[in-house]
Amino acid sequence: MLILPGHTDAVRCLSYSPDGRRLASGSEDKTVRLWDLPGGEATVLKHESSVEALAFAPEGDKLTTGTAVGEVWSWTVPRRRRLYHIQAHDGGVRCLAHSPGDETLITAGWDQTVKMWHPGTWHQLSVLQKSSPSCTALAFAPDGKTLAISNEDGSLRLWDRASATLAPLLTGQLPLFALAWSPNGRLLAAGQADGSILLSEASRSQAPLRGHTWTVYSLAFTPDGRTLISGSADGTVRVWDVASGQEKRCFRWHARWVTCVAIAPDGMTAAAGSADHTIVVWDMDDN
Amino acid sequence: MQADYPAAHSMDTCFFAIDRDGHVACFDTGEAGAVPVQALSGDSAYSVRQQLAPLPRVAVMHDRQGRVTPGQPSEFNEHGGRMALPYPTLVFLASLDPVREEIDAGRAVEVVASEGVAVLFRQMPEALAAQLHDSGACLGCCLYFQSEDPSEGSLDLTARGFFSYSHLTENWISGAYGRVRRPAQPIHVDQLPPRIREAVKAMRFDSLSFAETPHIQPIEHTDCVSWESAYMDVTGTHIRPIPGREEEYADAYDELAEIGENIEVEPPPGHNPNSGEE
Repeated sequence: MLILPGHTDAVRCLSYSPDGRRLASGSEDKTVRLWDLPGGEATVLKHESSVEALAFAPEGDKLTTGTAVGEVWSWTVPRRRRLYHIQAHDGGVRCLAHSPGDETLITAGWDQTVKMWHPGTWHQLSVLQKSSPSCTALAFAPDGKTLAISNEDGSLRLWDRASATLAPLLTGQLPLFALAWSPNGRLLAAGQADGSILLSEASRSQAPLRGHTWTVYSLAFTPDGRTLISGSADGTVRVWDVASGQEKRCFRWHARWVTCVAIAPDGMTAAAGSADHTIVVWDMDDN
Repeated sequence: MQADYPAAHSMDTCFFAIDRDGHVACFDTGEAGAVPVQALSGDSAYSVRQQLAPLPRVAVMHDRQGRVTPGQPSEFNEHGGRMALPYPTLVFLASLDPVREEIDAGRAVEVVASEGVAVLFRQMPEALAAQLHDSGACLGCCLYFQSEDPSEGSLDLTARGFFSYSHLTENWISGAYGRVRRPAQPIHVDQLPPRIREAVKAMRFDSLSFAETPHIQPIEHTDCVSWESAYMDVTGTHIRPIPGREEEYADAYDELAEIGENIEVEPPPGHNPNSGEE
């Protein structure tokens, strides 16, 4: 297990580069740290407000970051320099995602909108969701054809890219705060405010995964789709066997709540970020 | 020269804080309650309250334990509902049996309680008040004024996931806050918009969990401003000087020392008990 210290405030978001050689972390300390793995040497990318969301573009040469004042920045990873930015949302960015196919960017903000941006120019293409409910998480299906949107009112919607239509998948009773697709695109996991995790397969819901005692903030599948990890406001990281729905491990590494988790593209390691300012990277074999 | 405490001129306010787990609470000072120096309070706090209306709504639980003033008599400890005044009255009971007729007749409604049951009367009938208290069925009661009118700034924050604490003692001293209402599903601080999240995180009770703490005396945890130079500890059994205001406390000590037999009043630093004697 490796602890990555350095942030001076809560870590809010994590993303592995597609080649697995870097881990990016965004923090309320107004920085992104680009960690070279496995050693953990970091380069600091300074922002002017808390970094609320980030994602590597699929090619891996660019990093996109979203901030608490609603800016979205593009950074070149090899040179660690800002390329350009847009003012995307009033009141801050909540989450963002790149389409796996063409790097189209989707952002959601505290202004209750979900917007799509052109992959090359970042001109706004459309607004997928215009008002209440407020979007809490976004996840593109692996084929890039479908985008899952979870909302504060507990609803989960699927946006079909070809038809540009938004269809309800489920109407939950509790706010949802995390989403992840299994690598084969068949299973969608959603984390609820009460700590349970919903699993939906082709609009059929399975029994919720129960173990966390408070909001699930982040979810990630291993590349083989057999294991799901979750990070929660209850301060734990849990490892789940997807087929059986059983909890395999529960880790309490952090002194405060867990805000984000990520699994390396090769599935060998995973990382969890916390409000205690640290990131823990661990070997998935330990599970 | 006496230190001036700007906020102390109008202390009927509220402030926000988070705990070690990321729960969020709003504290109503009722005037004499202490306000942490670094907390979001005053007009800024009321402004934030107005912005919280869109948050998802959750069920509210009334908290009997948090309404009991530790170590001291109070309206709740002394059963304010016994007087059967023409105002809404909240009553905690072990069961609904003694009040079922009132509920069936629509004169009272059951509300969610964090222990036992709670019933809200539009007005407590005099005979029933006597019966509930003479039989010992009433576990605590008080007059109850809680409505939501956003135009008047009275947004129900507990229904948005916040723990609600109120100052429990009368205005003669800065006493403990009691957790009077708690959310069935608490909101986590990271579920607030960034600007509000940053503002409420200014005050952190890092050693406490609101879910486990019915009473809080902020002065025991951080620098606070208050009307008075003295405060009552969280157990309600000791009165002490507010740090930094020992000189004022020394002036008030003789009066405080006569308060009552159940309270130990700490002498001011350097106090000589024989100094006033011939």
